[in-house]
Amino acid sequence: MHYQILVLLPLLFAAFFAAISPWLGRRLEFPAAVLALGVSLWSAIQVLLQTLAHGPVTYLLGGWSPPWGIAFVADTFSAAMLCLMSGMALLNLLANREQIEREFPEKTHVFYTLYLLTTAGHLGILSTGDIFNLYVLIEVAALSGYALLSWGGARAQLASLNYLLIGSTGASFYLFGIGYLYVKTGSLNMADVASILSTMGGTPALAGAFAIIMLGLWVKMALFPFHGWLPGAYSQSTNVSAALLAPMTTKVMAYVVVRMLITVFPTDFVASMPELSTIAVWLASAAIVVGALAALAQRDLRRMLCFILVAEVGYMAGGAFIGNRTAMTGTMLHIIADALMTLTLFMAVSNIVSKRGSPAFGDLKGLFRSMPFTMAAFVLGAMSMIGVPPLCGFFSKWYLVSGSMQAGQYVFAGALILSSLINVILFFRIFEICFFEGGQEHGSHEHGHHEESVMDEVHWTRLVPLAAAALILIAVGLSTGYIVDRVIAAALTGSIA
Amino acid sequence: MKAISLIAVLLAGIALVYTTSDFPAWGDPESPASLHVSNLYIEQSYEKTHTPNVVTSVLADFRGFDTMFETIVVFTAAMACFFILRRSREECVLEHYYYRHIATGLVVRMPGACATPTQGAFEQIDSDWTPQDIVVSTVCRLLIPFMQIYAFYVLAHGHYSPGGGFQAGVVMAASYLLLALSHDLRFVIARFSERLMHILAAAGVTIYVGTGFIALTTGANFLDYGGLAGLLRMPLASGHSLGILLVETGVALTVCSALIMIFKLVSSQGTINEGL
Repeated sequence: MHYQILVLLPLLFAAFFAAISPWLGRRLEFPAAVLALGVSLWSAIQVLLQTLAHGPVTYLLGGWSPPWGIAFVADTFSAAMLCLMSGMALLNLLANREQIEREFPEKTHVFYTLYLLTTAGHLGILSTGDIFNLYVLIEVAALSGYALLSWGGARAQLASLNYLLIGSTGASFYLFGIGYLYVKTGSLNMADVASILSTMGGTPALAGAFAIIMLGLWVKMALFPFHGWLPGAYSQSTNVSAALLAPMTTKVMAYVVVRMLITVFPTDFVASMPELSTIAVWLASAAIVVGALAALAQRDLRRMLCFILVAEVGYMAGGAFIGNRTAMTGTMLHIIADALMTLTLFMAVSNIVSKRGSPAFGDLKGLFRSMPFTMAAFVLGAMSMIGVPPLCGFFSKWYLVSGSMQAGQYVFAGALILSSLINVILFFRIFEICFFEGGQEHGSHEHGHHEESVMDEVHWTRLVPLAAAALILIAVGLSTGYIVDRVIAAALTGSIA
Repeated sequence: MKAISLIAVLLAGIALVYTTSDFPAWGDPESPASLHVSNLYIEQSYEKTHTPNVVTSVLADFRGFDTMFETIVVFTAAMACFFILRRSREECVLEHYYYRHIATGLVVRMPGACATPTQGAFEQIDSDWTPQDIVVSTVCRLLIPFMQIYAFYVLAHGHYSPGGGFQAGVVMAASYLLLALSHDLRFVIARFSERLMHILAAAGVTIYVGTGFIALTTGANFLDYGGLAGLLRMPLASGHSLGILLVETGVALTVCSALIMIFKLVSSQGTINEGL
C-alpha cells in the first residue's frame, strides 16, 4: 500500500493550502494543519505495523525500481522515528494554537506552511532510501527551519542567520561527500551503494567521502565543536519553533549518521578507519563535558536546555561510533528518548514563558505552586534527562554505558556519568528555585510574590498535549524491552556484530 | 583561533587533493559513474518516457521526486522571505511619501502616510522619482512580449531542448523584473498582485504534487505517470511525456511567482509599496 508516501503528502497539500488560505475567505489553516499531521501520524503508524509484521518495506516513487529511480525504504527503526516525529509535531501544534495567533499576526498562514514543510522535510529524511534525495529533503527541512527560528527575541534573526551559514556549510559538506560516493560507485541508492562498496574495499576516496559526509552531518547535528549555532538558534526563537525543531533536527540528523553507519557504509569499512572513530568518540566525550559545564553557567532555563542538548548530541554521536551492538542500540534508543525528553521540557518551558514572560531563573520562583501540572511534566522530563528509572532516559544511558564499557571506551563512559551528575545539579537547582524561593514567604519585600502563590495554570488545551508527551516518556521507558527486541534489533540485523 | 582555522583549512585541502588522486580519470568511459545507472538512462529513456532529451527524462521522470522537492525548496524560499520580510500594511518605511494629483499633475508630499485614502484622485509616485527614460521604456516594451513567448517556448520544448520548467520560470520572472525596472514596482503589482503571486506559487507545487497524487488514485505509485496514461487511455510512453510536461508547468509557475515575490519583498524593504 501507499502508506509510506501518505506520511508526506497530507503535509505538503496542507502546506500549499495554508499559503493561500487568507484569500479563500475563511481561515482554515489550523484545522487543515492538524488534520494533515493526524493523517500523517496515522500513516506512519500503519508503516510501523507493516514493518513489525513483514520486515522492511520499500516504496518505488514513480514506479522505477532502484537504482534507476528513488525508493522510500522503511525498517522498524525509521518507521518508529516517523511515528515519533509526526506525533511530536502534532502535539506541539495542538498546544500552541493561541500562541501562534498572538505571535505572528497576519502571518499565521505562512507560519503553518513553514511548520508543515519543515515537518515534511524531516519525515522525508527518515523515509528515503536514496542518498541524494536525502540531501534535497535536508534542504527543505533546513530552509523552512531557518525561517521559523528567525522570529522571536531581539537577537533571533542574527542567531538564525548564523545557523543558516553554518547549516548550509554542513549540508554542502554532505552533498560534497555524496559526489565522492557517486564518482566511485555510480549509484545513489543506499542499498545499491552499500552492495557496491562491500565489494570495493577501502580506498582513499571512499575514506574521504566518509569523512566529509560525517563532518557535514556532525555540523547539522551540532556535535562539539560544531555546536555554535544551536544555543542561539533555539534559545532566541519563539517557543513554538524551538519546541518543534529542538527535538526534531538534531535527532533526525543523528538518525542519518546511524543510517550511514548501519546501511550505507559496510561495517568493516568503519572498523578499517579506527582513527576517525576514535576522533568521533573523543569529540563526543568532549561535547558531553563541554555541554554539561556550559549548561551550569547559564542563568536562563531555555539556554540551559540548549546546552544540555549539546551534551545529548554527544551521547548519540559517541554511541554510534563506539562500534559495538550494545552502544549502537543505546544510540538508537537515545535518539527516541532524547526527542521525547526535549519535547516535554521545551513544551513545559513554553508554558512557563507564556505565564511568566521569560525563562530567566529569576522568573521561576514559586512555580510549583502556581503551575503544578506544567511543573509535574517538567519534573518527569528532567528526571528522564538525568536518567531515573523507569523513565526512558535511563535505559538508553544504560545501554550506552554498558556498550562503552564493553568497547573499553572508559573516557566516554566517564563523561556520560559525569554529565548525568551535572544534570542532577542543574535540574535540582531549578526545582529549588521553583519550590522554595518565593511563594512561601508572604512577608517578602519584593512585591508580586503572594500573587504567584495562587494557582495560575495555563489553559487545558496546552496542558493536555504536554501531559501526553510526559506520559509517553514513562510508556517508552516501560516498553524499552519491546522496543529493543522488536524495533531496534530488527533494524540492526546483520549490520553490527 | 584564526591560525588554527587556517591550519585546519590547509590540512583539509591537502586531504582533499590526496583523495582526488583516487578518482577515475575525467571522462573515463570505464568509470563506475558512466557504467552503472547512466547506461539505462541513455539506452532506454526514449522508449520508456517518449522524451528525446535524456536530461529532462531523468530530471522529471526517473528522479522526478527530487525535482518535486527542489520546486518545494523554491516555494519555501518565497514563503520564508514573506514570513521574515513582509511588513504590515500600515507600517511605513520612509519619512515622506509622494502623491501626484492625476488631473493636475501636482505632487504633494505626505509625511508618514504610505497609503492615502484618496487613491482615486491621487497616484503614488516613488520618492526618488525621475521622468521615465523613453529609450529604456520603449525597448522594454518591445522586448517583454518576446521574452514571455520565449518562456512558453522553453517550457513547451523542454522535451527537446536543454530547457524546462526552471528555465521557463526564470525567463518569465525576468520579463516582470524588466517591467519593474523600466517602470516602477506598483506598475508590476497592478498587473501581478501579491495575492495572485501566492496563489500561483502554491498552484505550481500543487500541480506537481497533484500530478503524482492522481497517479496514486489510479492505483499506480506516486508520480508514476503510467497511471496518467491509464487514466487517459493513451500509450504508456505518451503518458510519461504528458506527465513531464504537466510537472514542468507546475515548476515554471512556482519558480516564476516565487522569484517575483522575493524580488518585490527585498527591493521594497518588505512593504511591497515602493523602492528598487
